[in-house]
Amino acid sequence: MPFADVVVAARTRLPAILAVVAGLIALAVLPSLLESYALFLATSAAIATFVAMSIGVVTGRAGMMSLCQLSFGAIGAWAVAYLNLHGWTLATPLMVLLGGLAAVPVGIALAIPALRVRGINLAIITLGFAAFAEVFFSQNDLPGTNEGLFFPRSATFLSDESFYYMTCGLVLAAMVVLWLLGRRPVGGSWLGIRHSERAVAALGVSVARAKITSFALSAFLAGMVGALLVAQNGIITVDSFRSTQSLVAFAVAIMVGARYPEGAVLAGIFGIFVPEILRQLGVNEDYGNIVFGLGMIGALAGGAGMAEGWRATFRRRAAQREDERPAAAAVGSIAAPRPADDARSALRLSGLTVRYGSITALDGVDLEVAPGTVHALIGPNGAGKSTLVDAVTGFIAGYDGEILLGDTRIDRLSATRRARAGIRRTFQQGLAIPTLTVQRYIELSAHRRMGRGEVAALMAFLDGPPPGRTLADVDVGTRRIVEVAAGLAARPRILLLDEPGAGLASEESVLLGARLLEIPERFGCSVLLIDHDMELVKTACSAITVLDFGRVIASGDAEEVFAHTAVVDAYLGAEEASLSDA
Amino acid sequence: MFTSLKQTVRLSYKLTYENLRTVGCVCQATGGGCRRRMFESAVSGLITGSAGALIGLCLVLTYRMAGVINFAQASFGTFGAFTMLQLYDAGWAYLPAAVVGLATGAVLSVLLGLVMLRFFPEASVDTKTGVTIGILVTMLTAGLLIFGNDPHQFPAVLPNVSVTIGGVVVPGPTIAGIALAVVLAAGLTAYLNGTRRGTQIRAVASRPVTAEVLGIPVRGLTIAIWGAGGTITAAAMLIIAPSQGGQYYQMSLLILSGLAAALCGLFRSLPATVAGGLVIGILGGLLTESKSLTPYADSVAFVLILVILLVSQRKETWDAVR
Amino acid sequence: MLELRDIRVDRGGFPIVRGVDMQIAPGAVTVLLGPNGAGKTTLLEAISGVIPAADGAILLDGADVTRASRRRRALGGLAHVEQGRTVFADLTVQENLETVAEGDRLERAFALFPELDKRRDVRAALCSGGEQQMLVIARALATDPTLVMVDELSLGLAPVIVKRLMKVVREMADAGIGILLVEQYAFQALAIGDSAYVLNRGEVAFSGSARELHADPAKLREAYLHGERATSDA
Repeated sequence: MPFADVVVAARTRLPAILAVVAGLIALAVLPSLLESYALFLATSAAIATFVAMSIGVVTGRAGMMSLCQLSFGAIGAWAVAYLNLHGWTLATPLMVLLGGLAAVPVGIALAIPALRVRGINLAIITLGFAAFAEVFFSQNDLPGTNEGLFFPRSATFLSDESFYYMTCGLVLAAMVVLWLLGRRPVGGSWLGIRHSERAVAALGVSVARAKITSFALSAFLAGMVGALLVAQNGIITVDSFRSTQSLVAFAVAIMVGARYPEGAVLAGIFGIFVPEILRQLGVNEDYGNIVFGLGMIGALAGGAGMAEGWRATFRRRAAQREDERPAAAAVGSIAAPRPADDARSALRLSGLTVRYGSITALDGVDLEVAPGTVHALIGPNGAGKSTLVDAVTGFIAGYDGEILLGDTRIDRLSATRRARAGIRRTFQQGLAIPTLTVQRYIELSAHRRMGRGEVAALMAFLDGPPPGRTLADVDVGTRRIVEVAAGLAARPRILLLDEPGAGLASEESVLLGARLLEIPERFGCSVLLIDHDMELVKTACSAITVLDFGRVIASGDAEEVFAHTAVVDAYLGAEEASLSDA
Repeated sequence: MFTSLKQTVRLSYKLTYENLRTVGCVCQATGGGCRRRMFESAVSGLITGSAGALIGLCLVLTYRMAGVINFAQASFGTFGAFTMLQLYDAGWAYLPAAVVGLATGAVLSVLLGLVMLRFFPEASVDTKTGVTIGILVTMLTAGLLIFGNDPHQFPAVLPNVSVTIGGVVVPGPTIAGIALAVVLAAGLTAYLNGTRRGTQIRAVASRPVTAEVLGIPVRGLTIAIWGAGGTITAAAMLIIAPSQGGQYYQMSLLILSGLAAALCGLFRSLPATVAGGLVIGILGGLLTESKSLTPYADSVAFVLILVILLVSQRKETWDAVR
Repeated sequence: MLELRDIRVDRGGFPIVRGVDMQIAPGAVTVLLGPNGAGKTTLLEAISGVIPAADGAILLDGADVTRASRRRRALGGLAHVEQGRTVFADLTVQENLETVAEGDRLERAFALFPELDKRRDVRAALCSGGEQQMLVIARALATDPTLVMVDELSLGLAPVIVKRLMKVVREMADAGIGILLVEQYAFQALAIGDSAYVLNRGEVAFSGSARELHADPAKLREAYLHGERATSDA
């Protein structure tokens, strides 16, 4: 990242940086201020942040409801106890990491159902697993419990203070790792699958890999919890890992917005200090859980956890300030276009037929998009245009006919592979991932790192928002433009645009039309455009295909097509139709 | 270390296999007596099975009607059952106490239904189900604070009734549970398919917004379904509590049996839900034949859930949830 | 009689429909035309309450229903035939109608559509497109409405069926019901229409007599294919 970008980023994040530095100083100084029980609680809070971080990865970021995180903790504890019992004692931090690793295979095993099963169904499976694990661990005590053994920490970390520092160090390391991952495509893919798996696949990113990695990482973090608890207490019973604990942890994580580090820290503090405060007040500490349950419901009603809410407000204010006084952004240049080859056509459909039961959505459609052209696909509502795009990009399972990209048949490829092979698309309903910034989203689509300047240039070309803007803070019409830009950034052979102008004011759509004309030369790709705006179609496209009732009724350039009476009839209904014919 | 790990795995496998084989061998050797014991075990599982079937019925009803899977359903019923017990222990007669218990379950369900309608009308299934998880946490905590998790002695339903089939005694509560589940499934199916109100309810389940725009009283019908669900679940808990040891936490976790039963019906068919719930109960009961597998009897539900979900969602549907 | 005053409807924080004034009279067919994405369906959804209106007023027979519930608007005599043939798929044709009517009113619906009478016990999902469209219109009529809004009944239907349905719509108006007809196939709708509005990019681009627009196809084609505002001569 060029130095100028770092400076800009640093300046906008100054308050956050100051807060972090203050927090680190407080952490460092804490042991000297607290007496041993309070220090124990602080260490427990640090351990609890691992639970929150693990839920933050799998549910907060990747949107998969997992209700069994503490069961992974039990596995980690079990592994560490087992190793200790058999004489494999390494330095405590290493033991903790091994505990985390022990939970990973189980996490991956649970990810397999997650590949097929979504939302509540996954919640059901994980809750079932949590109950099963509860029974398993109550039947099979942690190694060493029967013998009444106690597993001490390694020498360096024997004292409470050193263990506290070790735990805080691990927490900070984990946060840094999560932050780094968040900036890489894998982190973007997690946020993507939370929003829409379809959108992620259309970017050429593997949905399966996103799910498995998020489950594996969350299991690792949760496994470390168990290992840390063994290290803290010397031995642990299964009571800490009951299903209720997983449910409470889930509730707290949603309430605080655990996907962000400050949320995880809050979760740790709440989880440990709320019960403690209640205990000090002479009230049963379990009342805290009621607060967490209700807090979670409040967060769901408001649509965001605490950390998410703060960040959104902060971001929107920053965006407002940026709009009022736009910083002179260094606009670079757009990278080179896709090199041309001598394929006969960019895209060719031959006899494409799609049937849903007794309804034929597409009937023997032939279509050819010449290389370096903008080709329009028009037709009345319900003609089958979106079905065609879905079939071409791989989102329809069974169809008849052939689809060729360049000169190669792609019928055997999955949607993700087709996207990687050079077909990109936008969605009619607009599926740009709102939790990502423009920069991250476009990088995710392009499968490569891009300089801020290049992204800014791409945005300038399409009159889009600045690279640092989060897509959630931008209106739906503009998000569609960014979706188009993301497709272009991937340098595909052909880009299918499904009503990109919907939601744009007339001046903006005129600009879009002008830009569409330039796309083949600038980016080296062809365009298949679906739109209803005939003005846009006429100015931007050199060839038009008209669909009606799933069949091609006209094909050619604008003059030929619009002179065709069948086309006019298809749109407006036959002029001669009157009551007397009924 | 690696040797002992392998040994542990081999030992576990041997134990499981041996246990099941023993049951089989013993059955061949002793013939009728063994079969009767198997039958006894199967019947013993039927009471849990009927509770799962009844909870499953409620889950299917509220899912189709309100678009949410209520993870707290069993805890509502448990709370109602424990309320009944408080009154019973204070001297109330069985029937009035039971009525109050059923009403408590109904009220809790209706309250949740109102919260859903007021605060989460257009929310996704995921969000609404997340809310029920928050409610579950609250209910578990509240229940444990008020009633504790010690085993409680519940009065049995139909204690003096029993039927003997094939030499095996089927106790009254089991009969009550199965009868209630079967009658409700049949009755509800008949009501939903045969009456005008039932047709309206099915219409709401199909397209709630269109139904409302047509003037159908969607709110009222939805609340009625929530109330019915709460009552049925409380009844299920009253039936099963005596045989389960009457522990608040374990009873609330019967939601898993309910979920498994509902999945057998694919969250659509009431008869399939009841059938599935009973079968799961039988399988769980049979598992108690093996000493090492007895604690996992309730986890049969988990394995079944996994299998059903994996099989029923075989085709990739890209974002579509059920 | 339905009146809209300065209606604004938002979707995702962005205004889709802006500053719309409209009157739909009883006993007449008011046609609402416009290119795709103009906001026609959004406007209808705001009137029946499927989505809330962000600004402005909706008056149904003089009563302000802008903040009223969907059910209240339906009970006030408003019926909305949504786009896409929203039948209750698992219910039979008869049951679909039973959800809103019984006895005489039910039989009257079948009298209007003999085709449906033949398919009484068939699940709605298995009916043809034309039958489903007849079913949703019959279902709306069975609520005994004073105002019916129909959203693109011609979508995906063969022309001969569309003609049949248009005839039914005209008869409904002649019987005293106010009709707001949204259509893609402009000419067929204008042929039975009394007054017409054209919506473009969320704003009213034309309002006047349907006959005028029907008699001047060039003006209409301009409004559709060129996206320019058509000025009314009225």
